Amino acid sequence: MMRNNLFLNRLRIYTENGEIAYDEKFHKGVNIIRGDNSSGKSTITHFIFFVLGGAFNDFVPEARLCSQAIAEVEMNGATFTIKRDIIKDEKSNISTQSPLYFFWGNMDESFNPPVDKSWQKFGYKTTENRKSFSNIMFDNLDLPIVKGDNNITFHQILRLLYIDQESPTSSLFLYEHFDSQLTRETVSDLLLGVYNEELYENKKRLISAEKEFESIKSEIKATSHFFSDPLALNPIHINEAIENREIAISEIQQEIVSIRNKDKEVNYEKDSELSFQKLNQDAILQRKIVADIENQITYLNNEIEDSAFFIETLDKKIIALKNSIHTREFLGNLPLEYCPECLSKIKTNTESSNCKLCKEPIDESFGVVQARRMELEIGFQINESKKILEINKRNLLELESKHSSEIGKLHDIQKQVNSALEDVKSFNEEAIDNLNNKKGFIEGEILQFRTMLENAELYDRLLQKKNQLGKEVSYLKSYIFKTEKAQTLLKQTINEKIKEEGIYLLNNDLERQDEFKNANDFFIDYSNNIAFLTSKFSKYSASSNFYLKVAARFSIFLASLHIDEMRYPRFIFADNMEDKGIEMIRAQNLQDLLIKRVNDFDGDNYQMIYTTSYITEELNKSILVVGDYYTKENPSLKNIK
Amino acid sequence: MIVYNQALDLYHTIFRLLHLLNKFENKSVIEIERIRIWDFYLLFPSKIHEIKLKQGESDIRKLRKQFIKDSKNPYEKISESRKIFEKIKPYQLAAFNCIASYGIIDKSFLNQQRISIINKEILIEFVKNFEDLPAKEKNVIALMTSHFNQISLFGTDGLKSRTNLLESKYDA
Repeated sequence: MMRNNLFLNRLRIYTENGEIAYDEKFHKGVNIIRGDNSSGKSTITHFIFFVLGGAFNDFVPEARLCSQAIAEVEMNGATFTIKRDIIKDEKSNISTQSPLYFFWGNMDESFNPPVDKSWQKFGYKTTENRKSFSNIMFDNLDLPIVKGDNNITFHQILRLLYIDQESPTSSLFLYEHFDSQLTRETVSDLLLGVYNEELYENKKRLISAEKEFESIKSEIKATSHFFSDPLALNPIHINEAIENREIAISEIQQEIVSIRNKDKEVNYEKDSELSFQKLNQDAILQRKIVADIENQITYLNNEIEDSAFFIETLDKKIIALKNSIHTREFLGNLPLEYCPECLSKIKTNTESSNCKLCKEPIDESFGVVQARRMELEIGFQINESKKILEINKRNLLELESKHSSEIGKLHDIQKQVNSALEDVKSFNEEAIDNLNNKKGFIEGEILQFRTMLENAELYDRLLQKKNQLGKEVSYLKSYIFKTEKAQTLLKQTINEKIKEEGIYLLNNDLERQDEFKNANDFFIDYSNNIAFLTSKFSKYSASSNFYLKVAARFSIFLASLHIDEMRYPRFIFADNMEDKGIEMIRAQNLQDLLIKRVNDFDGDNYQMIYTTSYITEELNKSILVVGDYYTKENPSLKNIK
Repeated sequence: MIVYNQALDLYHTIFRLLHLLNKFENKSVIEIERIRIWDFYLLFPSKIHEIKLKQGESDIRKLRKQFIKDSKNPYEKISESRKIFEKIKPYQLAAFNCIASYGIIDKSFLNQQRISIINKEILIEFVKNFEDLPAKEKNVIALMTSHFNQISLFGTDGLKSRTNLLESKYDA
């Protein structure tokens, strides 16, 4: 597998006046930004964080007079340029969620882009049909996208790559107001390379499923409390009651029908009955004949229209083919100057019967013959289709006249039927009305039972849902347990290495904290955002807390140099290697320790950027430094007015 | 049943592209993607009615409605415009290479995703060999090479976005 790498090659910052405030190149390996206090070192790391997609707006006044940051970066072998504008609202608040622009080339190229390349703009938010800049960063670093959770952004990743000055020393991650254990756990799993997408999804699902389970339990309890009669919640019982009443209605209906029939029989004369029935049957038959003819007419109309469209299309294709043949003939008479494949100049060939390209003898007529044959084939199709069209049109005319004739017959028969109906007399209305009333009453009862059934079935479904959720929760817990167990093995390997690196840094600290010198255990708890030695509740001096945090963060970085499976992109940037009153010699010792440690590895495989006002004379003269030594008179940002 | 499809015929593609290019003089430069889009509408004129127009383009809307009638012929219906556009792409690119190999367009511009005409005489000679195109197709060419040559390719109101034939969400 490929090792993840992120490198910052160059950073440029523009002022609001369009002037260059900062423009420096960074190299692979160790990069040191040095200068006096308040000369703008932190501002550079702020801009690095910002241009890489960090949600940041707490710029110092000089930085607020800048308009844009541009960075050339390399990610897993691909070099490209990103830029981000500092966007202020009407109250001069800077947006933390401005978009990021990408140019798929180096920075110099991006200043004068060739015509076939242009910038692309990606917003902050990921939606279903639109990618965000986080998606692009994740893609380029081969980080799996955390589906369904838009909070796992590249900003979250940067919180473990950037050691800032503003976060409290008790916060392992870059500090954030609204933060969750799951987010920190997910981000650390991603970077350590132990993120399992399915595990993450199932953990989220378990939370939802358990909530749903409790909710349904409450609903079941409330429902069963509301209905004191257990049978009222039994769908089988209610269905039976409904069925009985439907049978009763059916019986009443039959009684109504029998009364009507009896009345009819009494009043019908024999001749009248026979005559009416025959006429009615005749009407039915004639109506069917008319309908059949109408269907045939509709079918033929559709066929005719379809044929017309088909012929129209074929005509166009004939023309297209003629144009194609003609084009081929024209080009055949034209001398070819360049190779169609690579567009190199073609050497002239004297043999006219040989191909100018491959020098083989050719029969130039083959392609044209093929096209002509196709032309003939389409011509045949056109002729055949036209014949069918004419036949269909003739048939349509015949059918339409037949339709008129049959419609006339139908009208005649209908008149006779209407006349015969006059013999029908009224029925015993009172008895039928009574039966209808009884029927209506029972139908009302059925409606009530259906409402009860609805509740009963809902209750039944709740019970089923509860069972199903119970099983799902069990399965999820089992899956999570097994998967986490397997994951633990890889985590152990990684954590052992992190521990080893952490202990090294602590043991080799100057003798300012006894627990560090004697440390033989070291733990990072990402979920709870803390690093500790043996107890989470140990307290140290402020400068030692600072040292512990920095050691923890660098131990992750150092471990990634050893373990290829880690997705941590071998990139770390730290603002201030000294804070909380840590003394110069202790801070310098830490710098030396780190530089010696990374010297064991190929400098082309990682990048470490840090700021310091405690640089040794030796380092100040080395190739590790970036830019000038910054002072009040010579700050990092220039041309600020 | 219909065995011939001019959309997938290299020579017919050359025929269409040469008719489009004939609207321009020597040294004219046009983006490849723009001409590819024009060619799509020359192939499928009815699709021109799906191009999004703005409030201020009511004159174009009238021209479109009046001179390029929508077709009801089911044999010429296509769904999935984007898919078709992607399918004809290799024929279009091969056609451009062929046209460049005859010295009609500049091959070095082709490598930069642009078309530059360098031999207008051959174009004129070619078009002269053919009868006039049907009115509908002539009108499509006229509309494409005038109004849809002036607007940008990129951005919300660009040609890519209005036609929805190419991705434009991330243009900057």
